[in-house]
Amino acid sequence: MIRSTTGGVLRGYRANLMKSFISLNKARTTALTQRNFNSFAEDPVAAAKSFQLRKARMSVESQHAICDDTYRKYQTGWTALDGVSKLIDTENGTQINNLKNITHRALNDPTGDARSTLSTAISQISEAIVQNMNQKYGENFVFAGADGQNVPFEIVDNKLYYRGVPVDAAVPDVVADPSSADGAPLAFDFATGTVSATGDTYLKTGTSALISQAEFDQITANDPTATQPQVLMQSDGTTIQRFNEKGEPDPNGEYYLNLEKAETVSKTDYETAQSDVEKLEYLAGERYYVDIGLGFQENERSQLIPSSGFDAALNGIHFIGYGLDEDGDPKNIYSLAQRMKEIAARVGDGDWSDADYEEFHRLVGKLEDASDEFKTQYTDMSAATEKLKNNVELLEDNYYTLVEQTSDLEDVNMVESITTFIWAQYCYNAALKVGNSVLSQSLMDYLN
Amino acid sequence: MGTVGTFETFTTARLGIYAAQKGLSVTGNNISNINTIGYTRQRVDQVSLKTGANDRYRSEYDNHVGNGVLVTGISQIRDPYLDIRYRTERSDVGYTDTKLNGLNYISAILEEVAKGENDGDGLLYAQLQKMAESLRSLSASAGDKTNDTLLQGAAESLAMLFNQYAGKLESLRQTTMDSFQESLDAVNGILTNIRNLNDAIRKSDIHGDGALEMRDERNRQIDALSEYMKIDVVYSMEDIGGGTQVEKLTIRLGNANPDKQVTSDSAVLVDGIFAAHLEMPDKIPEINPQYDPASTDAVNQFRYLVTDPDTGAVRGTDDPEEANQVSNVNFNLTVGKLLDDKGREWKDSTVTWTPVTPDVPGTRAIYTVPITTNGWANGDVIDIGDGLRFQVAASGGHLTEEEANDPVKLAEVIAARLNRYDRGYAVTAEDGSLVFTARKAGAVGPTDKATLKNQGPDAEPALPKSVSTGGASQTAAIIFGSLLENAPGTDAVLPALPPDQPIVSADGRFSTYSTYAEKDGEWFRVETTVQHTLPVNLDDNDLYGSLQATRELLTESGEFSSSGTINGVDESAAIKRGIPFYQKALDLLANQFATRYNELNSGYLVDQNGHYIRDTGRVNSKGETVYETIADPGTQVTYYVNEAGEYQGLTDPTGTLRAITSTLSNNMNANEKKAFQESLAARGYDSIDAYLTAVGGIKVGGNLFSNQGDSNDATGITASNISVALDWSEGKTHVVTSYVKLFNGDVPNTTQNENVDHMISMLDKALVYNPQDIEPNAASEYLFNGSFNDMLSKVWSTLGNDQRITSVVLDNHYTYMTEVDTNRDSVSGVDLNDEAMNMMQYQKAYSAACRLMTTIDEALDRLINNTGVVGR
Repeated sequence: MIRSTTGGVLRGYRANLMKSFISLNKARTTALTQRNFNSFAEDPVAAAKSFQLRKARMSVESQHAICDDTYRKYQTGWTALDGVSKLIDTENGTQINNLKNITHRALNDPTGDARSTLSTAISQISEAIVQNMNQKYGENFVFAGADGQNVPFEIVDNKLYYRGVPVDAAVPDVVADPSSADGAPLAFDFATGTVSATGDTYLKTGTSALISQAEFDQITANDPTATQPQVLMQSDGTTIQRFNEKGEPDPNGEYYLNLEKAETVSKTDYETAQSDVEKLEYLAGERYYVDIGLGFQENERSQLIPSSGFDAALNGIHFIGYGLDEDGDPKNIYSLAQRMKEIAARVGDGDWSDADYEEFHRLVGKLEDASDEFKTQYTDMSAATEKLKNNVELLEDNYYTLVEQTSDLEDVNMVESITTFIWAQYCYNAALKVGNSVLSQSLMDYLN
Repeated sequence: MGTVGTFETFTTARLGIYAAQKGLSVTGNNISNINTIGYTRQRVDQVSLKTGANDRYRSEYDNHVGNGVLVTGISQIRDPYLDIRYRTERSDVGYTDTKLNGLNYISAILEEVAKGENDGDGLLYAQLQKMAESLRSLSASAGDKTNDTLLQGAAESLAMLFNQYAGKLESLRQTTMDSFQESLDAVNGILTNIRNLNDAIRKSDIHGDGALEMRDERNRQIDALSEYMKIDVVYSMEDIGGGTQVEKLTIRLGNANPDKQVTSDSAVLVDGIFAAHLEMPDKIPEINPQYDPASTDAVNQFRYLVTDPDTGAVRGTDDPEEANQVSNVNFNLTVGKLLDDKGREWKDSTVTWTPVTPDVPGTRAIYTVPITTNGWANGDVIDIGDGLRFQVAASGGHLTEEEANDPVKLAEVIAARLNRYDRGYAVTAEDGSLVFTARKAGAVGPTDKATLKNQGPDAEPALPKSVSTGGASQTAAIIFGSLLENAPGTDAVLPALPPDQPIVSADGRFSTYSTYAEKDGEWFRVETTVQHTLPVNLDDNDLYGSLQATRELLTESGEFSSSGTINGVDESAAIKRGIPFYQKALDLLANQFATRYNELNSGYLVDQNGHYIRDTGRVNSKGETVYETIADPGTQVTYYVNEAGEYQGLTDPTGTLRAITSTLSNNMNANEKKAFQESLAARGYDSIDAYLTAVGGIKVGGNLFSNQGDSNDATGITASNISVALDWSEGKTHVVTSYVKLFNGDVPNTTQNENVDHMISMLDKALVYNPQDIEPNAASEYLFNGSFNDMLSKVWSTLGNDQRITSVVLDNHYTYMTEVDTNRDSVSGVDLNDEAMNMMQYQKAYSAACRLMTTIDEALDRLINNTGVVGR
């Protein structure tokens, strides 16, 4: 440039003054807003990151609320289970009137004078257990699995139902049809006593109804006028169905089945029991998930990945047991108690019969098993409750960490901000001062 | 030694005073205009004066002294190169500044940094999370209707935010449209000003006035124009006749289009006293959205679409005039005709002379027919055809025998006779030849006697050397017959010309007037081509500067651009993003959100295994509906996969694939869905839903979002119309918390929540955003893959990065423009130091000239009054 003109100098000055003022304004805005950036354009990477952090924080906030709520529900449940535990058995034996104590007393009462009273007590305690298991948290029943709006346990005719399903449901063992590949039961027509694929009755397993061919034949051999018992016939109605000594259908077997002694179950009842057992199995393991910040993702089948959510379902029968054991005794505490109550009431204040005593004794043992199982679940729930509590705290920590990270990203360092502002102001003032001299000086000022 | 004029030096002094005076005036003018925008500093042009070398007392020695100074003019000091650079930079600044402003406006609407609760949670962004919060609450307490209501409230707020953003963006688009129209008006005003200034400067130029101030104003106008568009300014000299030339200014568009084949980007805006206006037509040719120059498709290989008015069939065309005319949504511009201030059209003409088929006889204007006859005898009749007969007779005839046999004489007689009639030709006799000359150019045609006849391949007609006397009249006819008669097939008629109407070129730019003219005995086709200025339809990228930036803000839709736009309008369209892009991106987000949640809230009931169920028509003892699992044949499928687990179809032609059998359920993977879609299609069902409906599947739920609040219609949901569906708002539809009926409805599950969990997961699920969902003709099928929040963040990032880059570019351009302007000012600007120096310099010069005059005066005084008085 060979010339610097007045206009050119002023233009340059004006442009630089404007820049200086813009810098000052920016520094002032930063100091006033206390933010490192006020638009994506200022720092796109930081802004995007900041929103991600804020999103995470907002998620954590609501997850914390859900987790806290779930924790309280579990606490409520835990309290209820604690009550049940005390009703069954109390640590250190401090609780006198608990189920185990009473049943032991009933079993060991030498005089039997209080057995009727104890029977009533057993009944009351068992009902109290059910009441505890119908505890509510908020509007929902705690131990209702995924049916929180309905009472989970109901007692109808002294039988306990969980969500409409009898808790003592069990599929009886029935004789299998050997011609069936999948082990279908052997069906027979109850009215005619013949095996039939469309028969309405199944045979329960057992050998008590078996009668040997020799014995069967002997009946008429000794007395032709004697009446032979009705035995199960094959589907042709003329050939007797043979069984082996285990009670299994066998063409070469040497036994017949005495229908008069046979234990049977109707097909309808059998299928209902099957269905009920299936339902109980499902309901005992029913799950529903809530988002407490474990990821909450779905797999390729749009099913939630179990580890990413928290299974908040508390299934009542999972705690107090369901179904029958191999002895045919209920695994459910209430049902066990009811059975014991019935025996105690039946025996009354009299002496134990051997059979009653043996059964009562066995049931006391089963109650012990159920109690152990309950305690295991109770302990698991304590652990789950603790896990929730920890998660609540973890989410709180996460929340504060995210707030801090957001703050680190967004909030200005005040020292730096003020320093920048002061520096910008200093530069601007300097620019103004320079401008004063730029405007005043020229050769014109020195002409005489 | 030469002589010195007594008072000559007085003149020198006087001229010096004049020059200094003028210098002071110019300096004063410069100082006065120091703050006048666009003012160019002026200077005095002066030369030293030396009078003629042949004066009367000229010395033989070379000791001539000059006679002072002459002011020859006042000129401006400008550097055209700096002007070009400045204007280029200014168009850059105009473009980026306008673009940045537009992006800032969009940002002010869309962006949510530092907005919302907690000092920056955002609005729309946070509302999406509030939806998540409500869904989580609903999940934890699925049967509670309060949560459904809360979720509905969150959804309403979300829809409202979408509506507000869309409304503000549309409002911004309308405002920008107004701004574009205002810019157009401003540009046209500038073009008019420049034209008027050109006219005034031209007149001044003719009268010898430099019109410096008007040039300054013109430069200022050109500078202003350069902010709106990239221009190319050319100065040339125009011959106005009489040996006078004046300066002519031409402004063209500045070749901004990167496509080198496009010529419209150099359309003339101003040509001397003519100027065009930019116009925005209401209608433009309909662009074929599927246009692909490489396509062989009968329609898609063409740039435009045209609909047959009779059949309604649509076909392609490359002719914009033929194409369907649709609304000018692309804001295409046209450079109008060049008109002067009285509305007269600019024209230019060129004349070309083309010899017409010179080797074809009869196309000549002049024909010479030599007469070489002899042997005529008295009594013969020379019949030259056309009713002309000459009697050879010793007396009383037309010719004597001697004359008849003298070619010179014979030619004169024939010529005299022929000229008695008003024919299209004139005949003269020259040295024994007849010379036929056409009387007027273009007077040719088969019926015109001026038509010159074809004499055959040998060109020149030749008379026979001799004729017999017997049957002479017939023989004689042969002599001229073929020359003068219109014997069919023998004409060499010049091509007929259109009477008076010009031939207009296909684009209407050129009108050609044709005629025939004779020159030096040859015929020429004379074509006068008049060039008109026609409106020039500008290509999409012909403009640059703020006008183009505003256009792009109004039209560019980035990834939503159709292939027709990319292939036929702007190859860079897919990466240019204006208001429409952000509108469509927001629409796509709203549409995706609504579609996904509508899908999730509508489905078929299933059992606990996910298998679809149907109503048996029976009720149980509690009066509840009894369901059954649908186990029809269509619910089973066997399909094949390869080793990588990739779907291969329903058959295994190679026998090497792995077979998988699957049952129809609501938790199928992608392969299973494909398999069922294929197998059910083979059974005649369009979709799985169609099948389920046909076999009695029970559809429940309904749309949560619709395209307007008083309906449940979910088609075409955008950010501007997304609403909570009517049924949901009226409580007729609720959020479906579960599709599961446990054990066909035997076991209640009032707080089952698996569908709410789907909804929660959906909020963080990575989804593909396909522009074709909003713009069916969009060339791209992919915009982004991420969650709803991520998509919003992506839009902001795109906007923020664009702002940031544009801001940096603007800063650079502005700095450079300022620098160039300062450079320009260093040449053209007024500087007070300079002017102070000039002031002192001229003042001193003035004083010195005055002193010179005093000195001369004193000297002459000595000579006149005090010389020769010695001794008195």
